[in-house]
Amino acid sequence: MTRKDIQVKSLLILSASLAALAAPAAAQNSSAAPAIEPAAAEQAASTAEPAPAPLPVAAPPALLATPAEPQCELHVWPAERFQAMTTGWLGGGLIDAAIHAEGDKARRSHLASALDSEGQLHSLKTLDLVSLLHLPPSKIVTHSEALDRKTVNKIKTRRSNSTAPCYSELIVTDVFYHKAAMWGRSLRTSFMLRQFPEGAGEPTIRKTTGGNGLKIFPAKEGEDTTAADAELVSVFQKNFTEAAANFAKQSR
Amino acid sequence: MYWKSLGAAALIAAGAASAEAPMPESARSCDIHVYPADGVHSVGEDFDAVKRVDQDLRDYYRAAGRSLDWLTPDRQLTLISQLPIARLIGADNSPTTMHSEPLSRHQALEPGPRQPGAGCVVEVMLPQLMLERGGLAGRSLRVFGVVRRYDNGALTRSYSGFASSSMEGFRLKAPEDAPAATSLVEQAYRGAVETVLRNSTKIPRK
Repeated sequence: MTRKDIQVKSLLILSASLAALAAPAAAQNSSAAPAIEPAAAEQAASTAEPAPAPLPVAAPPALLATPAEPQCELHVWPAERFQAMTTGWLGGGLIDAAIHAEGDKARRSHLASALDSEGQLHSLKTLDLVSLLHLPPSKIVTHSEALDRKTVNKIKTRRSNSTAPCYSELIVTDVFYHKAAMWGRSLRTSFMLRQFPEGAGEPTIRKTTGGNGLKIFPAKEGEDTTAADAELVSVFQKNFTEAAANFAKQSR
Repeated sequence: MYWKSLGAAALIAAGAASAEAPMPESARSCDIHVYPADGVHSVGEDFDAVKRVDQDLRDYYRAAGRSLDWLTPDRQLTLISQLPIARLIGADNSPTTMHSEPLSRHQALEPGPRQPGAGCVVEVMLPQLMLERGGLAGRSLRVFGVVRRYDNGALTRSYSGFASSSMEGFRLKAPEDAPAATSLVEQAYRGAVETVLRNSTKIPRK
C-alpha cells in the first residue's frame, strides 16, 4: 500500500464517520417536516380542488397527474336581507327612526349594492372557507340566488340537489349596519352553518354573527364610493372570520 | 436683424407654449361607450318587516296584474339617449355608442378598459338600479354608476358612486295606476343618471 493509498483510505473513513454523525440530524429534519404539512393541507383546502389523497409511491404517473375530486361539498348562499339603523342621542324609538329614515334608506341600498349576491359570494370565495370552518377538503359550490329568509330556519333538509355523502351549507342570513351615537358605525353579519351527516339524519346547525367597526362607510351621495365599498367588503370578510371562530367554539 | 431674430424666437416660444398647454377637456372629442344594468331591483322595509330584495317589485307587478318590465336594458338605453351625456361628462361633441349587453356591478368595477382604442375613450357603466323605500322614508330610485376615462389606453379619471331621485307621488295599487307609476320610475331614472354623470366630473374633495 502506497502512502497515497493510505491518505485516500483515511479520507474515506473520515467522510463515512461524518455521514454517520450527520444522519441523526437528517432524521430530525425529516421528523420535523410533517409539522408543516397541515398548514399546506389547509392552504390546499382553501381552493375548490383540495390536495390529492396520499398515493402509493409506485403509483403510475397518470394517476399522479389527476388530483382526486373531493368527496365533500360546501354550498354557500348569500343574504338578501339588509338592514340599516341609526340611533341618535334619543336612544332609538320612533322619533329617532323618523329623523334618520332617509339616511337609513340610502345606507340600506348602499349595503345591498356593494354586498349584492355576487359581491358577497366573491368576497367569501377569496377566503380560505374550508380551513376557517374546519371542514374536510371540500368542493365549494356557490348559489347566486339567495334563500328565502323565512324558510332558512324551518327547512331542515338540504337546500340544494346535491347527493354528496359529505355535505355542508353556509348561509349568510342577515347583513346589518348600525350607527350608534355613542359607539359609532359597525357592520354585523349573521351566518348559519349546517353540516349533514352521511345518510338521512338531520343536520347539525350552528348560528352566529360577526361584527366589526366601520370608519369610511357610508360614502355621501355624490362622493366616490370606492374606498367605502372596499371597507365594507373587508369588514364583511372580517365578520366571517370572526363567525368561523365562533363556530369552532360551538363545536367544542 | 436683432429684432427679427428676437421676434422669430418669440413666435417659436409662443408656438411651443400653445402646443404644451392642455386643451380644455370639454373641447376634446372622446368615444363614449354606455352600458346599462340587467334591470331594476328593490330594497325596502316596512314598520314591521325588512323586505327581501325584489319583494317590493314583485308586489308592484302583482298590483298591476302583469309584469311591467321596468327599465329593461333596451329601455334604459332609450332613456339615456334622451340625456346630453357628452355634455354631462364634460366631453362635448363626442360620439356615443350604446351597448345593449348589460353589466353587473362586479363586471363594471373590473379594471378596464373594456373598449381598446387610441385617443380618448369614456366608459359610462350604470350596472345597478334600485327602487328603495323605508317605513318612514319616501320612495326613490338609486343608480350606481362607474365612469372611467382613458387617454391612449391609460386611465386618467375614474369615478364610482350613486345618486338617487325621488319618486314622490308614486302609487301602484291597481292596474290603472301602472302607466303613471312607470312614467315616474323612468323620470326618476333619468334624474338619477343625470346626477351620477354630473358628479363624475367633480373634483374629489381632499
